[in-house]
Amino acid sequence: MASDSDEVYQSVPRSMCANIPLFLTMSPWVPTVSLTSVTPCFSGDLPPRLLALDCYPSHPVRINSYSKAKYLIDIFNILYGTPELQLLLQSPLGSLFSLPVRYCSLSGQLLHQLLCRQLFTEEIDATWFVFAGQPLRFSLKEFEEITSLCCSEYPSAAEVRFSTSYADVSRLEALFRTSSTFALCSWEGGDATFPPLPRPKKRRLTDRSGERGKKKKTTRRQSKQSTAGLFRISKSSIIDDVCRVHQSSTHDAVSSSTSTSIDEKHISPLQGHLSQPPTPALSEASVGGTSAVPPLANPVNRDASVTKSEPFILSAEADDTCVTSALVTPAVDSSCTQVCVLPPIGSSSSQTTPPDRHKMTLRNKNSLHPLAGTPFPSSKQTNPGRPIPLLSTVAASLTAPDQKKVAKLKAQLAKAKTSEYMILGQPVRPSFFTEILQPQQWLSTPHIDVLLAFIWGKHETFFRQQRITILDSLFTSIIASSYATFNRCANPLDFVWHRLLILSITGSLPGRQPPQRWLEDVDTVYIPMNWGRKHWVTLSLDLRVGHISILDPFPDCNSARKVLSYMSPVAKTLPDLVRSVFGKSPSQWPESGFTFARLEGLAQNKRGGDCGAICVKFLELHSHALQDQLIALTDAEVNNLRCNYALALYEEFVGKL
Amino acid sequence: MSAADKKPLIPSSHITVKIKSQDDICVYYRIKKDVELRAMMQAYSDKVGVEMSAFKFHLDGIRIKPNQTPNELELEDGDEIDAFVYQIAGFSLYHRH
Repeated sequence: MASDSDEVYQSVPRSMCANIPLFLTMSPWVPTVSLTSVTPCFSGDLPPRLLALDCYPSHPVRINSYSKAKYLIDIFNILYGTPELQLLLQSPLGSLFSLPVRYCSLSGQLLHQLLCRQLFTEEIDATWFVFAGQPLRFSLKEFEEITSLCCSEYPSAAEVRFSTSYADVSRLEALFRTSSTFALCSWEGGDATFPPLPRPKKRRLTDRSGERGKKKKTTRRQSKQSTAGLFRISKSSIIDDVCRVHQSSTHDAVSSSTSTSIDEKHISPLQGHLSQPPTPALSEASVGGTSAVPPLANPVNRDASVTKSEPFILSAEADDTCVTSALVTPAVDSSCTQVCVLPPIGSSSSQTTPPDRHKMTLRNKNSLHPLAGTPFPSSKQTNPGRPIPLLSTVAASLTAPDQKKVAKLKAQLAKAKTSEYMILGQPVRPSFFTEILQPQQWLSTPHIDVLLAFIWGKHETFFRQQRITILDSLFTSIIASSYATFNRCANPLDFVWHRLLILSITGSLPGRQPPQRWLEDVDTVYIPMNWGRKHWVTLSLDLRVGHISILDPFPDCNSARKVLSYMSPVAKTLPDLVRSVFGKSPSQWPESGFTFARLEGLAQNKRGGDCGAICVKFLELHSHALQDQLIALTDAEVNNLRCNYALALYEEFVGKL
Repeated sequence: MSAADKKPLIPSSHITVKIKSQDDICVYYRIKKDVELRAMMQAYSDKVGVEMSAFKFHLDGIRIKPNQTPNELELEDGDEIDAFVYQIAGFSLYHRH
């Protein structure tokens, strides 16, 4: 039996090399030659090559990278009925003949090139190639590594030691037992008949070739999958075959342990590296120094809790001492110019007494969130003698405008198409008014800032007495853009804030005299904010409790997750900004930053495009606690509002109509 | 006495200013002190690829106008000008700008 096996190993390569097409002498997975078996820098004569240098066997069929292992069928037909076929089928290569070759991919060109560089040795279990002067080996050991089939026993330690010590045995001898006598006459025609390889054709890069390439990729992938499946299926039979061959053969020659020593040398440091404890995963605290800024206490959930709660209801049992005129008389008479007289707030009283303005005027039934119940400031205070806010002017902008004036404005704007107006130091074109006038027209930063400046000028006295201030959209824009840098800063107090932010907090903005310092002169701050360059909202900052109420004219436009991403920069940076300017922050503020929530029950601008104008109006109405209009703002009123704003701005900054 | 000492000290008529965007990208310009800032603003707008009307230029938190000159603003060498770009919005589920 042992002699039979030897015969198998001896006969298979010889017969294939001499009589059958060369590339069929090996199995399709031969090209995956283990590179670990490459001997280190080898100096000395190699065994003779099977074919002379730059000589290749002629073949009627051109071998290319798309070649299939279809010649297996030819071999099978030629050898059919012969004992060689039986030997072949009993060998580990026998399973090849049960493969559907149509689906088998074969790197024919690579295999062909390897075999043309074959070295002649006496090893029956290994095939040697030469490439760039370096010998490559494919033997049963590599076959074992590729297929995971046990092909031999490991050599004994003594043998390994003997094989790896080159003191008394030459390395060349250890690698090759070169006592061979290979003659090229074994090849038909000899060396002279070997034609040179044809030059490769240039490929054209066309779309079609790209498509073809895609198809090839797909089919190749499919064939790989199918081949892998077939290998899995035929694995048991191969194992049986190999085991049978093993039992009947001697594997002394297989244990050429040069590669073993190389493998061990290469593998041992890798194992040592892998045995090191894994690098601990980066914690949140170790990334960007964010440990100094603890995460916000789940504002989304709070927001969600508010949205899930029942809608706000008008407070029927409002505190008698802080009932606003608007609440007492929900329907404000537009003809009324003086609703009530509000007393001025003494600075001492405002600091010692709790904030009456922030008592609930709209109340949540369940009062789920402690801050959700303070959405609206009440404009009516207990202090008598307060100056008169003209609530009628606030509500009057929702009524239909004078159509004659609107027509006149349009005519003026049409006449002065090329002219330019200077409003608050910035040049604007006539389209500036047209855009405000036009329903559903998007508004940009200049519109919002000019509108806010107009409203500030109109209600400045009221705002100052109510300890309210208004900032333009630049404030939130700068905060949002500097948030990434702020997060990278290890110590938030060392962060260099933008000068405009500091001026805003200290109230030293140009045109704001006397200055309104936050916490000292201001309790509520209104800021417009642009969300993702597509939506305007107004933020109402309550500096006494550290809460931000978001006046959103269209909450469906942004999910809670997006709101969190837009609001986090403002909510997290404001406490540190105030601390860096004033040296301290109120103890009532949450540790993790400002809390924020969208106010429920506000009017919706579902037709879109009006959020800029509505935000400005929300600011006006919210600061005056006119919640009836906040809740029931219709599209017709929005149209009126835009017309009235355009008219008012034109008359204020350009001239009378 | 060297030649440099003999040369009278003439104040430069040019200054170098820095325009800083909100993304902390800085662009430096060397401008004449008595020339309107409009040229520099226009050059910056062209470089960024945005219309000049979409920018708002601030010096120390105060808006500067195109018809002002460095001399009027008392600009000095190395001063920093902030450039803010306008934002537009009006989104809805059914309507696109």
